[in-house]
Amino acid sequence: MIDETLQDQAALYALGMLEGEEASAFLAALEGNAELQTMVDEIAESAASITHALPSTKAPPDVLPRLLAQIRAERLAAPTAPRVSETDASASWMPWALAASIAVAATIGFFSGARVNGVRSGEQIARLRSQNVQAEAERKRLTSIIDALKDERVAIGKRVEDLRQRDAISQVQIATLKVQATRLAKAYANMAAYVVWDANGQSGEMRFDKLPPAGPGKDYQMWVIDPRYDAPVSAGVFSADINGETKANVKPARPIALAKNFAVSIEQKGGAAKPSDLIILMSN
Amino acid sequence: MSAMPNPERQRDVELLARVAKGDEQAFAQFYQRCADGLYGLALKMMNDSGEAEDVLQDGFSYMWKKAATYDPARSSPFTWAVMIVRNKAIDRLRSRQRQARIVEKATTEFLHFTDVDDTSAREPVRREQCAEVRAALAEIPGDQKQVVELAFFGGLTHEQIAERLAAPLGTIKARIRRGLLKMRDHLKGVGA
Repeated sequence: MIDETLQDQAALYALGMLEGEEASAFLAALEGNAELQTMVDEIAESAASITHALPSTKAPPDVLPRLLAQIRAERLAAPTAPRVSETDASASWMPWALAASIAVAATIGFFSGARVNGVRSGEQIARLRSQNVQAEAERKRLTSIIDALKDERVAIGKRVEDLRQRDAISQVQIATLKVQATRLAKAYANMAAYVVWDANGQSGEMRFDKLPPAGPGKDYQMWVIDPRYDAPVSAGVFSADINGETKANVKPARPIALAKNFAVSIEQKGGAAKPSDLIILMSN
Repeated sequence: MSAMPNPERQRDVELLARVAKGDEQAFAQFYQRCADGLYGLALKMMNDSGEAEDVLQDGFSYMWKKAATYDPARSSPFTWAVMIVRNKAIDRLRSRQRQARIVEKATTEFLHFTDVDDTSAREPVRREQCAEVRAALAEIPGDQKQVVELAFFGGLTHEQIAERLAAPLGTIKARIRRGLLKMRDHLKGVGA
C-alpha cells in the first residue's frame, strides 16, 4: 500500500514537477519499490493520454523532410559520431562491471577465509554468495549489451561507408558561414555558423553559436544566391537567441535551382526585398 | 492501460527499435504515426504555430538520437514521445518567458477541447483513443481537471499553480494526484 504523500510525489514526479530534496527523497523511496515504479509509469501514461483528447491537428508537411535532411547532414558532417558515442559510453561500463565483479569476488574470498577461521557466520557467507551470483548475472548482462553495441557499431560503420559513397550524388549541401563585414569582425569573433540545404526539399536550416543580437529595430535576414536570378532570394528573417544557439529555417521565397552561396544581412525589422549593404555572413 | 491497442503499440515499439539502429525509414514511419498528435500538443502548449513546429522538430530530432534509451517495459512509445515533446515545449516556454500569457489562456479555457466534435477527422484507432480519454476526463471534477491541465500543458510547478489559483500547496498536490489517478483507473477499466 502506497501512502498518500508518496502518491502525491509519484504524480508530481511523473509530470517532471518534483524538485530538490523532495525529488531526492522520492527517488530513494522509488529505488527497488516495484509497486511505486508501476504507479509512476501508469500516471505518466495517463497524463500523456490527455494528448489524445486535443483537437485533431495536421502537422506541417515540411517538418519531416527537414528532419531527414538534418539527419543526413549530421551523418555526413560527422560520419563516426551518430550513435557510436553511445556505444563508447556504454563500453565504458566494462571496466566498472569488471571492477565490481572483482571487488565482490575479492570480498567473497576474504569472507570465505574468515569462515575457515570461524570469524563470520554461515548466514553472512550465504548472503555474499547470493551477491556474487547477482554480480555474475549483471556481468553477463553487461557483456551481452556490450557485444550487441559492438555489432551495432560495425553495422553503423557499414552504413557510414554507404553514405560516403552516396555523398557524391547527395542533394544535401553543407557550408560554413564566414564574417564578411570586417568592421564587425570583433563583434562576431566568437560566433560559429553553418547552413544545411536540401535541394530536393527546397528548404534548409542555419545554425549559429554565439550570434550577437542584430540591434534595436533590426532583424537578421537570410539570402540564397542563385545565378539564375539577378538578385539574392530572401529566405526568411530571424532574431538571435540570447541563450547561445540560434536556429533558423531557410525557406526561399522563390524556387532555387542552384544555391551557389548563402548570406545573412542585418535589415530593418521584418526584412527587406533586397539585401542592404550590411551583409554580415557569407558561405564559402 | 488502454491508451493504445496492443498491436498498434507493438508496431510503434518495433519501429523505435529500428530507429535505435539508425533506420531512417522506420523513423519516418514513426513520425507519420505520431506527428499529428504531438503537433497538437506542441500547439496547445506554445499557442503559436511557428514555435510548435520548432518544438515538434526538436522533439523528433531528440527521439532520433535517443531511441536506444526507450524502454518498452516502462511506457508506450507514444507516451515516451509525448514526454519528450512536452519537455522541449517547457524548455522553450521557460527560456522565452512567455509562460504567463499562455497559462493565462489555459486557466480560462481549460479543457474546452473536450466539447469540440472533431472525431470524424481522425483515424479509427485515434478516434477510439480520443473518445476513451475524453470520457475519462469527463469523470474528473473541474478543479482537478484544471490543475492537471495547468501542470501538463502549462509546464507550471505546483508552487506556481498554488500561487496562481490562490490555493494551499497541499490541496494542489492532492488535486493533481486525484485527477491523474482517476484518469488511470478509468483508462484501466476501459482496457479491462
